[in-house]
Amino acid sequence: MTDTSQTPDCRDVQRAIQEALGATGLPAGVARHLDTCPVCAREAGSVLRLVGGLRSLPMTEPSQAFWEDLPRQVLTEVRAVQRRYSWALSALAAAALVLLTIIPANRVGWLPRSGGEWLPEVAVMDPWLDPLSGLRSPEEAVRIVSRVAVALGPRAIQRMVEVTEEETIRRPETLAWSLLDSLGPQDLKRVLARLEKGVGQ
Amino acid sequence: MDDLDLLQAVRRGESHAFEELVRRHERQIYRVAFRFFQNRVDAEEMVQEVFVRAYRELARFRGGARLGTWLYRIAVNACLDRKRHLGRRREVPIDAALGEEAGTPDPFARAAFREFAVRVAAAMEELPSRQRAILVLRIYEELSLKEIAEVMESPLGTVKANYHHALVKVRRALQDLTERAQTKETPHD
Repeated sequence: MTDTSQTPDCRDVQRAIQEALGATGLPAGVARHLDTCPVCAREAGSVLRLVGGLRSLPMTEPSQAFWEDLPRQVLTEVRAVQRRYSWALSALAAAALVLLTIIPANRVGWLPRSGGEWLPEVAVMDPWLDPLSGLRSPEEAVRIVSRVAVALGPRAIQRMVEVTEEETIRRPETLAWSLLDSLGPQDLKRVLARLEKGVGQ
Repeated sequence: MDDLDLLQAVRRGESHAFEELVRRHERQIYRVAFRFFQNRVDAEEMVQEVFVRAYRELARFRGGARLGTWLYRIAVNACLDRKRHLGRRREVPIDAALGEEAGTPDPFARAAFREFAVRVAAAMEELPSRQRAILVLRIYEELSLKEIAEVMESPLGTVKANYHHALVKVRRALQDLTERAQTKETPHD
């Protein structure tokens, strides 16, 4: 059997050259091969020229003012995101509560899935959701979130948070649909069972 | 104060610590974003976006990886997300400076350098986003393929394959230019 670490073939050598991007870090066998193989030596030169060319491209620097202002800009944006996130979570929770409350347990199997069309039985619920798009009172939001949190349980809440992060926030019902779509029938049945027992009320 | 001490201070709500954290890593993030998007405007926006994400995800950072690696990961993910959002661009928004800073008064050399810069930008734009990110981390940040695998949270074999594909594509796209340069360097017999 050939010991490839001692006598690597040209293909191995050329891959090693590309990975090392230079003479440093090349295995000894590869370096020896380069001394005797003009094809691989030419390949090494070609890779080095390419990398040198790419690295020679200058980078445009931002202004000094940009760097100085960056931490403040970041913190301002963080606070803005936190405010939007807080509202979105509240609105989502409210929308989810209404949806979950008005969907009878025996209709869980009817829920639309990703890429599918809305079923009429679900579409008629839209008018119920419209008033929620105006939800902005913190007290009301906290009350609703608390009730929904108890009913949904930790796993569903975690998924709700993830959905909120993934979605572009447009309308609460958009997020609510995503949540319902992502929970799956088993989770929904559990949630509905809890709601029916009045846990979330 | 090392990075982990700094992180603890940020978690305690010390805003100066967060400022220091930004200061330490801002250039690293900017370099990645600039090489990925090849223009200052997108890169500046990405730097801000990356630190916003980092701030929000600080609680999830367990210290298993180096802070720099973790920030690279956030930066790459942010670049990939933004690229997905932007879609394919018809015109590569290459910075004019790339063609102007050839460092030579020779107008022919400047023109050649500008052509090279534009062709590199176009070749990078053609690459799938993950391949582009891997190439940026390897060529400009000089991370090892193993480190890149850690950043990308991908198997080493996948990273290697993507890296080789990317390099082949860029070489092919620039082949005539690099051959021309080689001919110039090699004196004829």
